[in-house]
Amino acid sequence: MRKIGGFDVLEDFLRLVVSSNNLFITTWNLYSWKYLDEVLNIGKFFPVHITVQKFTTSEIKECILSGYKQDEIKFTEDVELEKENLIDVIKYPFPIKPLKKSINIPFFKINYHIFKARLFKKKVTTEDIIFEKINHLSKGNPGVARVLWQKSLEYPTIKPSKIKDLGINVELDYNDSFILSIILSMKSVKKEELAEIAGLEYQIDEILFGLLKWELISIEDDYCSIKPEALGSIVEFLKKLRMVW
Amino acid sequence: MADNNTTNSAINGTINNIIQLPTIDTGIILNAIIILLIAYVLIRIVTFAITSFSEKVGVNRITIKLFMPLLKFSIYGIALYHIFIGILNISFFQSFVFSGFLGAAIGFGLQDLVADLVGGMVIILEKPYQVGDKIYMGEYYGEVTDIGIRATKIFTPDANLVSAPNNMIFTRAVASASAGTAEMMVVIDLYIDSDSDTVLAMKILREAAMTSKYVFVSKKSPLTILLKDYPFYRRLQAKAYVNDLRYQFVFESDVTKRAWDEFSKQGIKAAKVNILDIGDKGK
Repeated sequence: MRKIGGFDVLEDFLRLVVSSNNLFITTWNLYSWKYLDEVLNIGKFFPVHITVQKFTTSEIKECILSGYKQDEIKFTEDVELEKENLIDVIKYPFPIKPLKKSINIPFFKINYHIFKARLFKKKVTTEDIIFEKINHLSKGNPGVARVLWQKSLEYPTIKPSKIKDLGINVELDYNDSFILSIILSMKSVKKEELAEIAGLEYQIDEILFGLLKWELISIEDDYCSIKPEALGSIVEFLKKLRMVW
Repeated sequence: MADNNTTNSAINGTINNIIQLPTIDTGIILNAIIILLIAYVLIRIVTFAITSFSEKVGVNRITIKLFMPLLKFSIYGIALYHIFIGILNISFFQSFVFSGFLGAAIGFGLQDLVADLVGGMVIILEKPYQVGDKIYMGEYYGEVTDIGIRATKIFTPDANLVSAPNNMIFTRAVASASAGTAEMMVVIDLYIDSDSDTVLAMKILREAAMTSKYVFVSKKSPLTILLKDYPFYRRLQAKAYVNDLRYQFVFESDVTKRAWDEFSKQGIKAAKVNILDIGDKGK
């Protein structure tokens, strides 16, 4: 746990690893590993590292469709797809603090799946667009991709417009962001543990309320975890703040 | 003799042609003012846009802000070029000669302004610091918010905006704590009693630093804990990097507070005040 004295169990385990003749195979959350490797140099205790690579679009497609019969799922082209452009203009709210208002500034957003298809002069099918979108949002994570799929599927039909991009248009203060980074790194963490990490001066309930409001986390049986569909956006956001490396 | 006279008059004629400046009327002055005004407004817009955008991209803001002074000088440069070449119709060679005369004339009257201008160019080319860095310049310390034509603006920790003339670069040593990066080393000193468990204290300080929400650790930015023994106390020193230089002081405070909370739980005491009994020698 990320607090003073919170690494004692891990240090005991690392001592056991170096003093034992047994073979240890461990799995780590990517963000925990990166943090612990920098601060405790745990990499040197495990001579062989295997990083699970990001899935490609075709691998994600294969993984998801393996649970269905051929032609069981209907990929339906909806209105948005026909109109889909290479570059979309999206409005980004820009807060003007003295006026306590925000104005919408137009930004250009590239639709990568269309861009890729045009670059390689490939004929784009609805199926391709759906899996490109899922892959882009899940950042190649098969678990997240599966959740996105399930949330977008209206069995037996799936439409590109149903796959929602959450974006990271949220307002979180530094403490909220820190707690979010802890939840991300620990995958599933008890509320009491988060309270210990946050310290006495911060109300963990207030922080969690904010994170729930932005639909970034879910709490089940007092255990907090990241919402899979928000994973990509959260990582992007926390990397900007250098809270995950 | 006649040949010499002819040559001299030819040379004089050529020089006159070169340095002959156009008549400056009200229209030309007005045009020049309008161009300078446009350049000024453009710079304000560009500065606002770059600052707003860079603040949105988190710690990468320093890289983006790097272009701000360069853009400013370029816009003013283009504006001046346009005034000389486009409006005054001075040839490149004439403007070169003219700028030499102008420089010499200004140099006598406005030495400091010219020195500031040259200082600004040196800052842009040599990059002893850049917008976003935390620097010591003379008696000032703070974050560089702007590098202008005349002065560098420094935002101090007590929220003062200091305009330090650019020519200070020639006369004062400048220390940049971050040197173009967002992370910055912070040195935290804690003084403990000599009888306290030093090993435990060092472990606590290390963990207080590495678990701080503001810390940044990498192979290039390691966390170091040092111990120094003094006659009546021991100094623990943490050298750790803060992830964004704007959090320098809260990082220091966070580590200090949490370390002392744990010290008091573990019975590690602060250094005592010792009074030396030196007898009559002190009288």
